[in-house]
Amino acid sequence: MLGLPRKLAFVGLAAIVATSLAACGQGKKEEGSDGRFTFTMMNQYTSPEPPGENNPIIKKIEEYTNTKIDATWIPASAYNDKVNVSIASNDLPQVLMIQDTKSSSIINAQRSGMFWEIGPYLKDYPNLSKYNGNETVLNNISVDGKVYGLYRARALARQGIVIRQDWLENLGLEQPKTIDDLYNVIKAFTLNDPAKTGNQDTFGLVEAEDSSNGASAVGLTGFQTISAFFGAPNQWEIRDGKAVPQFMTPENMEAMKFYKRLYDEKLINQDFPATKTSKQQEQFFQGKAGVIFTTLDFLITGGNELKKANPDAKLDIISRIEGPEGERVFATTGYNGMFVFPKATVKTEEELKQLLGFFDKIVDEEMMYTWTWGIEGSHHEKDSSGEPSISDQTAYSNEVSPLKQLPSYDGALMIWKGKGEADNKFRQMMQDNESIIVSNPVEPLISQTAVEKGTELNKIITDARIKFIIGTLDEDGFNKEVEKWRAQGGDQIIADYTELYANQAKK
Amino acid sequence: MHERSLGNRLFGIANGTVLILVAAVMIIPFIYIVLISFATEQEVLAKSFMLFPTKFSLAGYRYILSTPILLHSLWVTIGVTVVGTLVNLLMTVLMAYPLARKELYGRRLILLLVTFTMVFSAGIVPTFLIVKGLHLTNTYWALIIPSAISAFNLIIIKNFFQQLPDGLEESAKIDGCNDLGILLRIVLPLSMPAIATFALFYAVNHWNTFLNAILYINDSRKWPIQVLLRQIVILTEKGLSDMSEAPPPPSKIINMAVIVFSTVPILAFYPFLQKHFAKGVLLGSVKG
Amino acid sequence: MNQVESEPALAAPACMPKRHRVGLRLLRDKWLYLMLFPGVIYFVLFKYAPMWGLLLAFKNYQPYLGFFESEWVGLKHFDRLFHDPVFWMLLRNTLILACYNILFFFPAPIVLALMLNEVRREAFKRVVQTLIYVPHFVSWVVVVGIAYTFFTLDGGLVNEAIASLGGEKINFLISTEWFRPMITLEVIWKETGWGTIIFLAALSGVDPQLYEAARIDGAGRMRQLWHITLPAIRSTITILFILRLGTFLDTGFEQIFLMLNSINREVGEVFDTYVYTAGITQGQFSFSTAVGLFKSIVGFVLIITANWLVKRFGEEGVY
Repeated sequence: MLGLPRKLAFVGLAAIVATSLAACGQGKKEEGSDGRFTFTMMNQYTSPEPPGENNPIIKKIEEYTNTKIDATWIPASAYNDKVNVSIASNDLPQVLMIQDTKSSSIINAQRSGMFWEIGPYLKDYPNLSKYNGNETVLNNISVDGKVYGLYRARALARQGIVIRQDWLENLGLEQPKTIDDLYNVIKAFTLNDPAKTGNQDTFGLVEAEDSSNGASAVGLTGFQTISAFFGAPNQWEIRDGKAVPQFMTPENMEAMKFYKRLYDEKLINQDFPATKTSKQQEQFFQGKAGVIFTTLDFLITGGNELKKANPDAKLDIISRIEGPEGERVFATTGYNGMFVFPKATVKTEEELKQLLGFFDKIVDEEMMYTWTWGIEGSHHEKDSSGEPSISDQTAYSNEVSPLKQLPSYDGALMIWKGKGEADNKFRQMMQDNESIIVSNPVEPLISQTAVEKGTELNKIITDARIKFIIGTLDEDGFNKEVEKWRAQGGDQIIADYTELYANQAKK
Repeated sequence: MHERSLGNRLFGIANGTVLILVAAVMIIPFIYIVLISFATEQEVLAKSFMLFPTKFSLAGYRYILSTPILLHSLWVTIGVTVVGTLVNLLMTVLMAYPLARKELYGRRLILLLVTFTMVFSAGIVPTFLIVKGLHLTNTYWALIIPSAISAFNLIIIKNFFQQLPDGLEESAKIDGCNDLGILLRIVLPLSMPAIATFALFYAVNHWNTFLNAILYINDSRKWPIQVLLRQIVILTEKGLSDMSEAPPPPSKIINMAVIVFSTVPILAFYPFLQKHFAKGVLLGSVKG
Repeated sequence: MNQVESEPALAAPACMPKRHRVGLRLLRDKWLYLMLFPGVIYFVLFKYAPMWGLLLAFKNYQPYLGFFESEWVGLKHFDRLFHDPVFWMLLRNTLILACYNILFFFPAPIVLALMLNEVRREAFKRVVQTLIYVPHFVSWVVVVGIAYTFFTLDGGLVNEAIASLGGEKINFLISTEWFRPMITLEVIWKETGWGTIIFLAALSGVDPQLYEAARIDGAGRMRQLWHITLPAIRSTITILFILRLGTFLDTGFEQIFLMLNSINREVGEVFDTYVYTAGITQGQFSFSTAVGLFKSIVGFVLIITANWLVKRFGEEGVY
């Protein structure tokens, strides 16, 4: 047994800890009584830590918009759990960011009228109509033709090829312009010792699986990029009034064969089906591969990481590869999550307008400047000509970047001279490529079967695609898997989309 | 240990060798984590695998010290673990002891109902509604009270109590003890190894608590360290950011340093409990 | 406390009606019931009060409608599960992994604990114990990350070793044959040391005088193990085994999910990972609940059967 003094000490300690816990548990003070507009919001953060209480950017926003934001920041790694519980228990904030916009519970919630329909209001806000008024994207997030969410705009033409320019120069090669060129570069990057190490220790292309994309996964991270070059549709197309999924087109088969050739000739990492994107990028940063299909902005983020281990490396981006149908790039959905305004907490139209006004104001000219450069003195400095440049990258990453979950536009297409040549280049390319994007025509259509079984069914196809590439399935085998997809619900999805598309076209 | 035969000795050597091998296999990955946490970012990036970094750096740990919220969350975790474990032990022992007494009326039914909750769990939302209804959300108690008793631990403790030698309570009753007195004066002192074990089990559970914190607590200042750790690990391993111009995920060395930082305190807890296991119980003296 | 159903002298005379005897027993054990009280309240409040959540399996639950407004759909979700073309594959994969688990992982901590028990040097024993329990604290994300680093095709430690010995490299990570052994090995690696703790606690209750007496009788190590050590932890093993059956179909979601890919899915997809993609990520709460309920029912039937069997053999069961 414990001796009496020790026992007392133990009980004492417990009592102290317990009271301190209780004290910390007291409710917080109510603020915002000074006439400022106060609202609650739930949003995710994708940085290591949540935005702090004393974050200067929050202070600046609150001052600038004369509001008080009572925000709940949830780690992105668990955001969907939190949202589901909040909705189910009716524990809703006034502004709710929804990441998983196409999940059945969210779609049903929108249909039921749980959130304000904001579509008709957007035109009244100059900045929102500028950044959040893209017809394609509005169409993509709409449910039965109505827009319930303020989407967070992202570049539509974001995908491309990032390539080791220094390797091209080492081998005396030009940047690829056709699919054959691309193949030859990948081959040379594997066989001809582009890094000049004296060994054959590189891959032309490094690939990864993309299962984290759920229902829109295609198997490999780069498959969309390649199949665009081959002329395949972006997920779906409407041929003669009938919806056809990408994997039932001959162009899809061409793209798969392209990959199969790379795999068979060992020009690509041989365990790509088990490679996650983080590992893929790591291999690229280590200088093991010369080509990666990813987002164009990887030029900056990836370039910085690459130079840590390979200071002499040079990167470039390419997106226009001439294929049988010319130059094509697949469009993304154009958004990443959206803000909704629950009627349970946003009681009046007046309040909704105030909230939209807030979101409008935080993407005006001055605020876009703040999102890009932070606050003068703490994050950036201006040179004699007034041109800003980031002066404290750490402070910027810690204080400004986490909050970029808040504005409804990430400034992807804005070009700032002070950001440097490479930065301007990828933004320019994203802008230019908007003229050659191919969209997914069924993105706005909601097939009940697809909502319920889409992810599950899609796995049949992504698995079959990868098995075809590594050779465990042949063309017949792949087609059998497509038949399986059709039998287990795919035919229903095709019928749904065909019908929904026809109805939509009639309107 | 008198008269050790050759066979016995050989057995001892073989046994010891196997244990050393097992221990080595189990500890090497953790050593790997610790070493990486002291490496330089350049070296980690350049090599896909290494056991010994050639250059040591404290960058990962400097990062931890530069972010007050990580330190703060460690204190939250420690507080919740200490209080939570005390609550757990109190509640569990109080309930387990009566259930160990075979003559208790209704005992089997209660045990069956407890077992039932191990297999059937109500799910996140209904439990959340209870916690919210009791106004526990946004307090540390939300991390403690909803997990006050683990059915698994309860059943095992009950089983340990049952194995204590017979006739203890009878002799105590003759001495004028009531049942609570028997538990406190006789059963508990004899069960210190079991209590130490379950203190550890409960403490580790609190230490690892993560989802409850996210569901029940909105204020990030009240989060335990696992919430932050998990985000950092997932950012590094998978990457979550979608924006152009997003800052790069935390580097591997930061990831590993945070893992070490959040694991070592609870690891250090074990040796303190170990002496209770090692002691054994001198039952003979009680019996005699 | 081992006297089975002994009625102490305090008990009422046999001639009294049964009701009164019960009343007297309740009165006699008032302290015990008082002690039970907080625990019972806890279970009622936090375990049984939310149990209505299980009924979601029979509804088409829509969070915004709430529980009561959502429509009843009867067994629709179970129907979908049982008629899903992948159901039998899921069942097979889950059962095989669960059996691997029971066969290879369940005994591992027992063996290790017995080995540790044989160690006579206290310091050595403590060091080993401390080391083997460390992996429990490494999260699955990190364990799988390390496994990938070790087993990857190019530059992985294991494959480099195979290659340097002249063998042919094995693509472990996308192999259907290696999936199950790797999963089981990872579990054994991570949890065996941790699992020994409970057995060591049980073993610490063994009276050292018993060993002393056995040695004087000339019993060797094996006989001591068989006659003293094992009986001491037998009931702990039994209870743990029964309780393990309750979660028989739980295979550990996170680990398997992280190890899954297109190639090994045919052997690796289990109920937990399936319900994640088919139910949770799509916000289909009712379907997820139905799959969970199915697993629970299987587990509960297994527990009841095992408990009954154990009692038939004269052992102390869970209840």
